[in-house]
Amino acid sequence: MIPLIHYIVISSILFSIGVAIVITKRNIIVVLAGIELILNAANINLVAFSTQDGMIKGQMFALFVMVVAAAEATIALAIVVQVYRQFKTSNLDEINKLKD
Amino acid sequence: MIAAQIIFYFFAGLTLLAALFILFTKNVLHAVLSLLAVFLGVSAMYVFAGAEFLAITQLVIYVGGVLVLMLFGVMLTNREKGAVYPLSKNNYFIAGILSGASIAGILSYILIRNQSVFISASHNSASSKTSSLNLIGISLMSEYVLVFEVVGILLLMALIGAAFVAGKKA
Repeated sequence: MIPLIHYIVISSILFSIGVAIVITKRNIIVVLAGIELILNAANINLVAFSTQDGMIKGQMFALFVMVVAAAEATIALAIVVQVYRQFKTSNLDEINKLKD
Repeated sequence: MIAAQIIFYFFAGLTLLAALFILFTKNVLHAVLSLLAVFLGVSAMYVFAGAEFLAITQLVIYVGGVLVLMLFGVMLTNREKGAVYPLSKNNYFIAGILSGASIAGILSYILIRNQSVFISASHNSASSKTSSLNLIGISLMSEYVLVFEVVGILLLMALIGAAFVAGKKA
């Protein structure tokens, strides 16, 4: 079996890379990709810990996290399309007005 | 046993390398496509953790849904053909690397301090040979039925809201 700590190390690295992407990248789509990386890192932790007990609470929680992440991505992409229509850019630094 | 470990570390390496590629590439399309490799690797890790249902769900939701949505987003926000977008500025880049490295440092400090807990935990893990699918189905319809319904309503709201927001003419 794979030791539990290896899952945790991998998910920690994935989480750190996700945070770095969210901070450095200026394109909306890539920032969303970073958020997905962070959510996936959390899910790896939940699933890895759920192997420790007979119940599957961690797996159920990861399942609902996935559903919420899908809903978040849907709404975010809709907003991105609307923002692009308004500002003609997908660079987060240039989107700095609430209204014209 | 050894072969399984080699496959696990192959997929772990694939996941981390693809994530690093997203961090360092300057092309939006390449970033979104290497997200595919991350999702595949995470799904393989779920299989090794005994969560087959979650692995399939990961493939269906993320690769089939979220990734396609992101590709549509890239296409809809594409100004001109073949243009490479400035994804990062230097000062942001240093800030991001610093913050990512410091978070990684904090997490590894926590891991090293509590290493004994994790190692002792992994010894008494009862590796279940049976599939967890049966248990997931029963739990979804009994213990977690309220969460299941609420999440269904949330998805419906997200669907209607996304159609409303994206379809509205500015």
